[in-house]
Amino acid sequence: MLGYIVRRLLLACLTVWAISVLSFTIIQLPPGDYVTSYIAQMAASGSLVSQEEAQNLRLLYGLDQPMYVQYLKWMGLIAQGNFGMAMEWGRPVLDVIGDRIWLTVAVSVAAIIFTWVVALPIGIYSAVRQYSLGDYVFTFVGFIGLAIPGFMLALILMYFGFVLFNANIGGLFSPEYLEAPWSIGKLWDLIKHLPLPALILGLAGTAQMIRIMRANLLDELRKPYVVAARARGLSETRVILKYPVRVALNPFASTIGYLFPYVVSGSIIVSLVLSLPTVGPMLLKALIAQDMFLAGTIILLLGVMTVIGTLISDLILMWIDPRIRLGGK
Amino acid sequence: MENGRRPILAVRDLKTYFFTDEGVVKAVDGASFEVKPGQTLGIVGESGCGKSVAARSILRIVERPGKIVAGEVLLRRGLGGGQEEEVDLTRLDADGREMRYIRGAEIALVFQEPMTSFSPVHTIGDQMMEAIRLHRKVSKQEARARAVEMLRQVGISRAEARVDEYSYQLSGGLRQRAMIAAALSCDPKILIADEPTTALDVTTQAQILDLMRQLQEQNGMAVMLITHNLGVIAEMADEVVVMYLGRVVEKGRVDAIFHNPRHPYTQALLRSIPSIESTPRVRLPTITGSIPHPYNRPVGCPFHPRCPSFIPGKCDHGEPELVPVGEGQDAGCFLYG
Amino acid sequence: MWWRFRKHRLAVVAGIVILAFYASVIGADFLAYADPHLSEAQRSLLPPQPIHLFDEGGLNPYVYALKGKRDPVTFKRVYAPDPNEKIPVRLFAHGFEYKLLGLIPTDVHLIGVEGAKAEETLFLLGTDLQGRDLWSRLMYGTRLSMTIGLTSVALSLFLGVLLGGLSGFYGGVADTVIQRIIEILRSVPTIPLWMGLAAALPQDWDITRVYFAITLIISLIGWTELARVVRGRFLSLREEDFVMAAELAGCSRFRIIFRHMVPSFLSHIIAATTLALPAMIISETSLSFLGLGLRPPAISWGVLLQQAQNIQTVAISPWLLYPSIPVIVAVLAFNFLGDGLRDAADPYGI
Repeated sequence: MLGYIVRRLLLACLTVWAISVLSFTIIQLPPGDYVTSYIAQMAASGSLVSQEEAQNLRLLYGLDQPMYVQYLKWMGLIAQGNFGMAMEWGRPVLDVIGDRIWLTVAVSVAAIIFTWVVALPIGIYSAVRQYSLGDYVFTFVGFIGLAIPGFMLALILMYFGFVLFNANIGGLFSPEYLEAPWSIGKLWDLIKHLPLPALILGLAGTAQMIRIMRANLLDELRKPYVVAARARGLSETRVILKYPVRVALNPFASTIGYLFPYVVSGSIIVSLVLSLPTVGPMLLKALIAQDMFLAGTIILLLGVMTVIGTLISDLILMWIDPRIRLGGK
Repeated sequence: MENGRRPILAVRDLKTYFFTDEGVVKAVDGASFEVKPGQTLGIVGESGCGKSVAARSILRIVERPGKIVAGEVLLRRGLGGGQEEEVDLTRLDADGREMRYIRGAEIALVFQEPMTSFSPVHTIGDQMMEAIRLHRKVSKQEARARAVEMLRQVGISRAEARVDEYSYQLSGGLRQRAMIAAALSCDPKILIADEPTTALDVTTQAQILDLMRQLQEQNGMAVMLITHNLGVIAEMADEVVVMYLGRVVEKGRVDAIFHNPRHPYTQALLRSIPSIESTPRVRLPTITGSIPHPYNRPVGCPFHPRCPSFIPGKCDHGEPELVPVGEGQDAGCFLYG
Repeated sequence: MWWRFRKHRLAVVAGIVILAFYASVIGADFLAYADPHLSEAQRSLLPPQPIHLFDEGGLNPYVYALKGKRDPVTFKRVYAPDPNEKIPVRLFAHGFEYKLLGLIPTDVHLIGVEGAKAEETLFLLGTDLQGRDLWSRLMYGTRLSMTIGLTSVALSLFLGVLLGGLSGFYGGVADTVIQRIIEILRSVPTIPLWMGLAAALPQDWDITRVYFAITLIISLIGWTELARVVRGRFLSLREEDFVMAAELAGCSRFRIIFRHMVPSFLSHIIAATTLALPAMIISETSLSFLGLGLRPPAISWGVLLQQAQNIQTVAISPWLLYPSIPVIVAVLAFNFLGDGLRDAADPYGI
């Protein structure tokens, strides 16, 4: 078991490193560097930067060094907690991101909870009552969820919300709480607003999970230990819930790990449509404005968040499956 | 026991059909037999003759799309204070309290797959204790003690430790013993063993059979042993039922069946057993033809296309009834009635 | 396998739908009736104009001409259908010029109007913000959206088969390394990466280069699923007896892979590929919707949907949402088709 944890941790670190390299590459991709944009900014506000000044700045930031040195410097800065300056705002990146990253986490977690809570019972029902009307209905709804990308669903729902109810269903907070400091009231307001984004984000993942659970359970239901349990006199409900569901839960739980990146990704676009104050809209603006420190940091943070989420789900899987715990097969 | 002659379980004209998209499969088509207390009834036949489905029908755990369409399964139970009643299991609600009690506490099932009969994610003890606590009002500690005791009885060493292990940590033979332990933990009156040794090697097979015989003597339990292995039947059974395509073609005491088989199918089965005394370099006799597809049952006697004593005009028209052909021996063949 | 596939009527229907989509890819010019790039600000955001089928007792399709009037309140020019002037609609009419199959110059379209320019009169699905006919743009959009999926999937397939095959067949170190890479790629949230990579593309690249760059980006992350399927198949096949038999008969490694193993999982690959297409289509649509993928003047479903970003605009002109319908239909169709193929390929399936 310890070996499992260690391996997972190592992999997580490796992934974070890979993400940092990718983020760095993204920062460096557009032509020019920080100094060029700085000069452009200065020029826009009327002041000129001389060649000498530019050169000094470059030396200062180590921008004339080869790539890997710059990368190490960036990593060093991050280790000190300095994520650079967001150029458009003129403030440190962390300030600008602020709450948004936590809200992104909240929305993603809400979506995953939604997925689990909905997909599990429906998957079980579909497998046990195969070919029934309920099964077909759920399969159909599942396909819809699979086919409509999150942002499209958000668009359509917003349209109907607007036209039918004259309501703007976007946003995570009611107007009065938007700029207010955190309090119980604000938290409750957030929770009230979470279900809709959670549903939109989670729907595609839910459809996928229902299919997986249904297929796994169908496989397990035919196995001898189910017959044995029934022959021992257990009631049908207990037989199904205690045994095959438990076994089918393992592959189901192992897919949770990959749900996380999917949901985090999806939240970006859905947040845009629904105007949620999460990291998504900010990332888009940063990318379009070529504010590379902001964008790169956001990507890095998102990646780290995802890796942590995957790690947690791996730990949950380990707790569920005794075979991994005991190292047997 | 006292009621030595009266059967504890009587199956009368049982019919279990499977209603599939492609047609109706008559897995059991009018089978009748009896199990006497303390005795072993062997049910023998080729794969697909309906013996497993019959066992499942008794316990009412036939899977969809199978259904019991006719017949009775009469279980004789004690009500306490010397009173007795006869219950028709086909009339009970399959998922109801009474039937579930019967499953496990009165009739227990052991079957072929020691590899996968235990859930891989629960300990053996957990699964055993669950059944014990379901049928008896005992505490967790008492249930655990009983489970350990049962494991010991079936010859599993270090039972105290084993009870907390998972099924994949035991070998095939041990798993089968554990299955028997689980089945017997509530003291059932009847043990149905469906191919209990088919998946085991010969040595382990002998050990398991010995164990079953020993436990049977100890507890006075009746055993319904289902197998296609005639050697096992010869060793273990008191009475034998031969099935073909869902029907009983012959039944009687084991010596009678083995030394004096009457039905052509039984005769052919016994002829095909290789023996040390047979002439060397001579072809093993086999039964001509093969088992017909379940959707293509022959009209009349189910065996007639492969029967060496086929009587045209008779065997392909009517279905033979079971008639007595000897002391305590019945056969269903037009040769005799 | 073919007759097993046919049992899935849904999959067969889906297959036909897909074929119809690709037919319209080839015949986009023919099916459109208005030049998709001709913009006319004054015609912006016109609602769909229905074709009236019967006129004077006979089958004589026509549309009402649009007359512009100045709205006295806003002083903006507003177009409204004029019931007095009817413009006949014909099949196989003449319209703007194009080259059929890129070779034959012609100007015949499926439908068109007589005696007027289609761009000014016929608006089956309304117009967009720049006054361009939505139906015609949708036709052209299908072309890019459906083909970008194909090229991405082809690239992913190549990478997936190569790396998955190496991983599954040789096992050992290669397997572990490739497996780790796959795991890392799978745990990275894709959209931020895409956005980053796409935004990093220089603004001045022309459409084709952007197209290929987007394809590359999408497939560089999408090959992992296919690689997993391929690897899984190789792993299970490796243990099969017929592979051992081939080895014992003296076949070379290469021959074993291509002549013996590949044919048996070819159908699985086809199924997995078909299922990977919808993801590609959704990716491209999402990216273009954000403005980071294909950009105008390129036309794809995502680009068309870009105009629907503003909820106020959409509320007044809901026809801007119509491009989402082909996306949904195409994705559903590919999913059903892929499911059907997968069930037909899997001998243990029901």
